[in-house]
Amino acid sequence: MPPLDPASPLPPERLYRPADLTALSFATTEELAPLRELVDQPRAHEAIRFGTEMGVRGFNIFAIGAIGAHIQGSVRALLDDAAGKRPKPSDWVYVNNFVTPHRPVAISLPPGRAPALDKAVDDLIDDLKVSLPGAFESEDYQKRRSAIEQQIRGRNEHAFSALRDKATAKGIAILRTPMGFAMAPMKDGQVVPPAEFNAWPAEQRHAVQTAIEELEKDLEETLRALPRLEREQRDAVRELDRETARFAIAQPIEDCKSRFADLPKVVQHLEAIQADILENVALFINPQATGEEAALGGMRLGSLFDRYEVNVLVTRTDGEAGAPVIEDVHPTLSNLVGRIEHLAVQGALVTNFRLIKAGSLHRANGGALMIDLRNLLTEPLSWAALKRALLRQEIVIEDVARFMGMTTTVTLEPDPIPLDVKVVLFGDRMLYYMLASLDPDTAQHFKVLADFDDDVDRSPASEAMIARLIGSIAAGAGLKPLDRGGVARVIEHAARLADDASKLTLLVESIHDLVAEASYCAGQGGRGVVTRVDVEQAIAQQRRRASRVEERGREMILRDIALIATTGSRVGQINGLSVLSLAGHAFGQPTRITSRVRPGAGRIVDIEREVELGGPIHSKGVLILSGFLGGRYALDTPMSLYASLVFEQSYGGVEGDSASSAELYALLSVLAEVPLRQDLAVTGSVDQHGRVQAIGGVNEKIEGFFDVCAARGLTGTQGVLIPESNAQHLMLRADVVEACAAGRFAVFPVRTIDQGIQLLTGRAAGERGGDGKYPEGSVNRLVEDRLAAFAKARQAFGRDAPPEASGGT
Amino acid sequence: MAAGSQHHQVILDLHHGAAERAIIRAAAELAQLLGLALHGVFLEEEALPELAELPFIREFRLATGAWHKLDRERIADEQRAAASEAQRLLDEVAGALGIVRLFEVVSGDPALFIAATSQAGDIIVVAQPRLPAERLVHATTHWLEAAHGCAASVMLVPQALVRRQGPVAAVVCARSDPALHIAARIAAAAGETLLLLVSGPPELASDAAAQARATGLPSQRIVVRSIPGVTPEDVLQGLDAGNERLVVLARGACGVDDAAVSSHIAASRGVPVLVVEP
Repeated sequence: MPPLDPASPLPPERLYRPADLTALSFATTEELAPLRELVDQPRAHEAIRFGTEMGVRGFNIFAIGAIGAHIQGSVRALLDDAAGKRPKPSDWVYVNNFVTPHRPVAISLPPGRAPALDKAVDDLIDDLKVSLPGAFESEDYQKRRSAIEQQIRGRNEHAFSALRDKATAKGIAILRTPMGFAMAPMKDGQVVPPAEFNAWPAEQRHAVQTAIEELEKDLEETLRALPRLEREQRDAVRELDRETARFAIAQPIEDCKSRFADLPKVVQHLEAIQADILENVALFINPQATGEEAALGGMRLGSLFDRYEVNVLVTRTDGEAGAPVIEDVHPTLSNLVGRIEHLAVQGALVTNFRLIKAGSLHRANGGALMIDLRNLLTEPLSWAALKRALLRQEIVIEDVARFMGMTTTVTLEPDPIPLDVKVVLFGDRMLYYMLASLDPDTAQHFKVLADFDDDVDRSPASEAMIARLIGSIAAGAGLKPLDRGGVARVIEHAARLADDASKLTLLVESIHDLVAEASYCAGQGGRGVVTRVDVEQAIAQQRRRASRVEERGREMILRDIALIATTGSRVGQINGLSVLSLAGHAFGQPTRITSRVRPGAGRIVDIEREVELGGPIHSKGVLILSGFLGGRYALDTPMSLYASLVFEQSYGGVEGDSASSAELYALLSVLAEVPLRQDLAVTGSVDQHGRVQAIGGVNEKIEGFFDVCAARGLTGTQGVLIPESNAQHLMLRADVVEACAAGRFAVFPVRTIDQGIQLLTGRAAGERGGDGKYPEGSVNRLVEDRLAAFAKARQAFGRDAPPEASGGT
Repeated sequence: MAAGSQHHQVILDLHHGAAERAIIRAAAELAQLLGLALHGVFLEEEALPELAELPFIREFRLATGAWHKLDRERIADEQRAAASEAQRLLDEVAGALGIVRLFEVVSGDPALFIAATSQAGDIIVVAQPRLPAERLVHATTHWLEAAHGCAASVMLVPQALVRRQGPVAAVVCARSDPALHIAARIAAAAGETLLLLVSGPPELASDAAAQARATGLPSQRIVVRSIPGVTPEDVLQGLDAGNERLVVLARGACGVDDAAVSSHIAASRGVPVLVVEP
């Protein structure tokens, strides 16, 4: 690129760089291959590749980028690629712990086999529900049970028959009371009422009484033997039941075990089921009675057979290839580490192993888990829980209510599940830097940083990449395809968003919004394809919607409420340019900067700073001016200047040093008493040697001054001085470029203060000659002479009075 | 019971351990199948509270395993509570089946009550006492004797019921055997198979099958087995692998002691035994 001539405005082709799509052949974006990830991010991509391949603990990935960059899309694509090469991880199930039910057992199975186990156990229990009652209703069982009962009953009845016969022989009846037994005198088969009994002769009454006392002993003895006999009967029947059940379930259990013979823990669990069925065979024989009993005895959840079920926590289906990549968009504690749900039964909250639900860590185990950092940090307890899981390398389901001390209900302590996951946090840089500085654990658990660039160098290749991105956005969101012109305009806007004609933004969100709005505009215009016109319209509408404050500011200028001159010239007065950014909408506007000087102690007063409206960078810029003035003009005399600088009609804060060159021009103007052109506006910072340095928002600043000038009517002399180094950032609006091309407006690239002052005053800045002096009439000579005069005046005054009490300019 | 006669009610003794859900359900299901009302009877020991006046009469309470003095009020309260609980269970079970039920607390001699209340066509349901001792108590023996001695049919329900579904078995040893008719009606109503255990000449079996078909039962739901005799052992042999839900036999079909016969079959098979009057 040829060097720029500061005296000449930039040619139109330097004000806007159009897209170059010659390398890409397409009519509309429908023909472009979709883009899964943003390329040209070698540093970040290498980091992610390294992180995914690094199997050592702690090498999790922190992917950072600008807000709106949508880096998760790229991260996801990279993780998917890496996951495809990894084996499918295990399935996990929770099953009942028959010994300690509050500690469910976690079992790992080869991928995809958990549902088979679930079904096998379901089928087993269903079979047993039929076959076990059948076994107990069988003739064989009934005969054996009947034999046991009759044998014991026979022994019982024999004892009672003997007692009854004895009682009958003695004229005594055995009566059943609600709670036991009693004896009473009997006559003719009927109990003798007390009145009749009392009428009997004394000997007879005595005989009855004696007989009852004797029989009571027999009755007591017989009844006391009852529990023992009943226990004998129960034991015998229970043993028969166990034997019957063992025989009935042996084969189905063996069949089931044989299908999982390669999994010892599953076999162990099936044996536990077998043992439990033997202990609780009544569940199968008489489920209704057992259910009623259980319901009366306590709070039960679901069916009695639920205890045998398999809770499939995570399984890998046949359709899935490789390891999982999961994104947790709502990483609450329970969504992250899983949860134990409760159900209300009789007013109380109860749970069991079937209510254990998987979290994203479970689902991603063996693969990768992506979490938006902001979402993670805004969920209470989640960040700490994630760190704990990574530290312990196991997933422990933590009950949030218990954490907070909110409930004391019955809950579970499921087996922890070993964790082998690559956690990828993504978010904006500021959040990452804050977290890294505030929480030292961050570095321990996230050793790999993938820092995504906000923009990419502009080249035919990168423009082609953005074109494909645009196509992918349009296709993915169901928008209208874009033609070449539309794509080119979006790419050019991407450069504008990057604030640099040689860069393209990677803020996908902004590109997406523009493509969507352009599609809408095309629809409104009845077009099936988005054209350049539609994109222009969308950009204009975006600006229009957000331009209320911008327009009000310009209106104030046009009505001369905010004083900005765009013609003529003034001493010590210049048009500076500032950028305001409100909710993502940035716009430039001119600001009048003025300066006054008088003899003093070498101090430049920044009035903004004095009233605490100026920020530190702005103050720094002003202080640099002292360095410049001292270094250039006060080589052999003390600086005897008191100067004040102010942003006129500025009532808000001023920050940044982009106005420091304008401030210097104002200062030089007032010192040299040379007027400055008001049809030019200035932006750029300056160093102590008078070199003009790059600033931000150059496009907005130029457009801000252009809009004011255009509203008043372009004179053909108006323009903006920008740092030469900012020329490469120009992506100006079409109307500005058009005006410049027509010679109605100009953008001047300036490298030094001398170049700028020459443009602003029409007078040469001047260079020191061999005599060490600046040429007569040059701006520098005038400034130097004025400062020398100040020094003399101060010297003279210093003999009589304190310098601060001296007069003005 | 005369062939084709209509039963009026099923009378269920709710005293002496019969106030159990399974027993009540068996009686209620029978009433439902035959379209009868269920009449629950709680037999109070009328003499019991009065006996408290005799100071040497004591009560052996099973819960404490000790002798206690009889207390008139307490005994009366406990009898009322037992009656109330029996009524609650009856209402619950019968209510669930939607059948007409009646509950009554009876004092005095059970034989008199049965004689006064029951008639040919009724079915008296008696539960096998859970405790062997209960079989020997005065009121139980009286109730059983009265039930088997009256004109009504008697169904003995074992304490441990093995099954509630399955064929209805009938012991047939004569033409127009009442057991066949009532068993066929129950089988038809329940949608079950009728298992005929026929003891007699060969033509009796075909005649019995024809009579069963005449009640509306399809042939495929009629199974005929011949038994060599009508002793309880012959019947049990005939029932082998029958998986029946109920055994029906005519009074005196297996000997004079119907109570003993039905008790033996019920205990051996774990199913109710209905003894119908000729």
